Amino acid sequence: MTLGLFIPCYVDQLYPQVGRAAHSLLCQLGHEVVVPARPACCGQPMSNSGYASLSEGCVADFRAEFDRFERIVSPSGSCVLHLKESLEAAHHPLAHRVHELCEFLHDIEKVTSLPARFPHKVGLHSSCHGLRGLGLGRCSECLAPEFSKPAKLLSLVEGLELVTLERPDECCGFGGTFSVFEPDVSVSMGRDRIRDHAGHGAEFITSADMSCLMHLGGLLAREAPQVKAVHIAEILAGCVAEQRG
Amino acid sequence: MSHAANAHDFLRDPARAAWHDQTLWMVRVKRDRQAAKVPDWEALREAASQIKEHTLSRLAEYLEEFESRAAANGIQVHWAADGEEHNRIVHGILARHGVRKLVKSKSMLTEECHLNRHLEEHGIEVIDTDLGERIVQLQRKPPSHIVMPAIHLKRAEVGEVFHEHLGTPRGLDDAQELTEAARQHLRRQFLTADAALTGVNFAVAETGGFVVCTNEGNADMGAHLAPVHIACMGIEKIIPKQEHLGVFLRLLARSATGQPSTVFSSHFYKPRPGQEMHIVLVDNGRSRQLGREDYRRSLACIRCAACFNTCPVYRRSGGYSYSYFIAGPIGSILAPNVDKAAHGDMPFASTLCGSCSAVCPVKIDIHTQLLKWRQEITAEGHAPWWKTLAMRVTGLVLKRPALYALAGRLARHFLPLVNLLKLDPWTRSRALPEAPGQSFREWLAETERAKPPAKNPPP
Amino acid sequence: MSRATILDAIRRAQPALKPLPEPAALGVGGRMENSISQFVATLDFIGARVIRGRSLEEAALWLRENLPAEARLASTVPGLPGNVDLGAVIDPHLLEGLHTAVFPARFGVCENGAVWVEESDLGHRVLPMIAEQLFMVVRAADLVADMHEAYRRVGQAGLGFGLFLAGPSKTADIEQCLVIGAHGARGATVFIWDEVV
Repeated sequence: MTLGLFIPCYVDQLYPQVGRAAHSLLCQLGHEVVVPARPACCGQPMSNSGYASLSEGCVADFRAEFDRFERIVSPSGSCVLHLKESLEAAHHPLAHRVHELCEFLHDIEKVTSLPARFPHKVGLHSSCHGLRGLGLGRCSECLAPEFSKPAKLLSLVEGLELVTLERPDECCGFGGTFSVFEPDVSVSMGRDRIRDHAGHGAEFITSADMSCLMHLGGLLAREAPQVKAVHIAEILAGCVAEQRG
Repeated sequence: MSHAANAHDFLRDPARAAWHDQTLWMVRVKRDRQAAKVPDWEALREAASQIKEHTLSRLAEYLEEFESRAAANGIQVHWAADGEEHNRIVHGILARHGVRKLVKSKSMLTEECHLNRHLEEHGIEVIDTDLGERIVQLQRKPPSHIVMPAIHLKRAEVGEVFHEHLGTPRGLDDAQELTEAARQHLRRQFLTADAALTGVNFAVAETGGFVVCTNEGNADMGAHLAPVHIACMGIEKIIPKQEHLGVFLRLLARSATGQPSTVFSSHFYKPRPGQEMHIVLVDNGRSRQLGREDYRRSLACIRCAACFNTCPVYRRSGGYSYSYFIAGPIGSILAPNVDKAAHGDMPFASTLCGSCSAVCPVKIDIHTQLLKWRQEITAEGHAPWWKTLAMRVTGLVLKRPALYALAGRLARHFLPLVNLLKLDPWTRSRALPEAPGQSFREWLAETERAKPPAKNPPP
Repeated sequence: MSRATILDAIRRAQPALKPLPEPAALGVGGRMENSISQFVATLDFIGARVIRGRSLEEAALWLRENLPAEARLASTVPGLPGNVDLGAVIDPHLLEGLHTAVFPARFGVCENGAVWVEESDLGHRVLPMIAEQLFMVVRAADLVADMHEAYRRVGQAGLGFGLFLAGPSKTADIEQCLVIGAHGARGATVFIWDEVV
């Protein structure tokens, strides 16, 4: 299948290794992967800040560039949620063809094995938009049977051990521009998350959302540099060793 | 002061803030445990949500039905368009009876209408009888949480308040002993009150009766002793049938405090012989919210505060960091209906994590409404100009690939400096990632240039 | 008068009719366990004391043995006499200082440990709050699994006041420390009797 790969702005500029990992993973699975020139951004930063009108151009560009693909994949749950919601609001069928990477691997590709090895203790940060927005797992508020697509994919990685958390799905406090307009609460939330992960022996924190990891990783770098933040695509593609040594 | 500034102050004492967070998180955990024991929990939430949606679509009819049944049962029904009228009605009833002391059980509505101040100005002593509410009343402060009004206070602080106002020994900080002191003090008030005022958890159109839920028994102690009982309710408290109470009572206490039931779920149908019973139905902006399609469902709220307890922002900023008397996620979607300018920052005091919507027993889409209010608030110009400017510039850059690529290169170039200076709200506490030499798109272009042309993807 | 104004405003604002659901059709109800052991376990959880017996005489014996001789006891259960004549008490304020209130419950709810009590069984509405201790009597056959079944048994017509009462009064308003005995009773005992063995 020819897949459209959407690499959001901040991943493109700050975390190219995540884009490369997602690209490599999809290629490994035998797909042809295309990255259109536009758009750079899904528009969420503007929309969540109360400027939805400023994000409309981004969604329009996305529609124009990606409508030709049968499936579109992106390694960022939050961006995918914003695109899906915007497209659904406009009753555009593309809404159902945009997938967060884990969702694609789990639901569409139905992968049952991965050639990756990662012999480490890993804490899975369930990003809110992936979890409660896209339904990548069951959130702790809900009384339905438990499941987690990212955790299931990580279980396919040789040697990887997931740590159990005290609060399995509390928000990390990133929240887009919340992280700069409410820095105190944001940082306090992030600290509590890294304490939970580190306290349970995690050597790495991973997530399907790089934006949460940008925040958590930023705190880790200052406060617990022995723990690293890596995107789930890097682990699943077996790229962490190559990137981070 | 903005929520962010108040939160900054709250977080100055990290140990205390952590205590606040953990205390409320425990309530959330208790809720989870109790909900897990109910196999039809999710079905209950759906039923509750649909019953409320139906009720809101027939609100006028149900209110009329309630009024006629209640009147037939000997309850006097009053209508108040706003808080001022509500206060006038309540004062009118009390004045007619020459009431000098009123005992009041928890009613967020009277908080909304500033009833206490109004009555005190008319020389009536008002005693809040819910323990938590009494504590904050003695401090002359509002509740910081709608179910646990004094949750922000430590035992020792309660001890100080009681020492000053109730004459308990200085330094008393045992919860049992403090509660006992309050029990003795408030029992005297119950026995000498001239009238009782309660809130209403549910009013049933079919019977004309209403239900008041407490754990302490304070609403009952007041209402059953006093010769006059006034029950005040927002018009959205109505439900169609008595059997629907089964749905709501199963959800309410479990969601609120993680109890299978409140201790007292009292069903008032008629005044007791010789007693006068009044109900005040209050609009105060609710009909306006009813007409706002995007926010209508906020009126389904049963005030359990599960969204407070689960909200990671509320837990780490406290009830007083919000400008409206109802704090937390639900307060943040109710407040802009009242005043967008005054409470314009409340919908922004959220990461939009969605835990509030997922925990809500009546399935209010709280975080979606927060996002919608953000759009309205900025569109009406209640956002700071620099934020608007920043967003316009961001939007402009992100739409133009060449400009975006240039801005990206510049940003990566200056990133180490920004990281070093730690001047902005991000880098003050968090590092930015080490700047990569090449963006993903630059890498991809380079890789694809190196490939044979036939393998290039279609344009 | 604001009545018309408010109702007009609501009529203008309320949306087109949304259907009233049938909760049972959504899967609500009938999922909780109906058993004495479940009821007892819930009562234990909410801090109530449970006594089981075959006849009311056992309750009378328990009260004799466990209450101080001078305790003021008011009872509305025939066969369990008190020493306060509720009929003679006109003003409920005079019930202050009551040691124990004994009254029947119409039925008990297994899922939450509540019992349904009606005004006609109380003498005074304030009885279950003003007494220091409660002693409630319920037949083992009168248990329901959940609140839906409960409301099928709650009457409406002619009722002035009724309540679901679940254990002793309590509060956790100070630092979330649970304290039994807020404004209402400090202790609640449920006597379950007439078990079919």
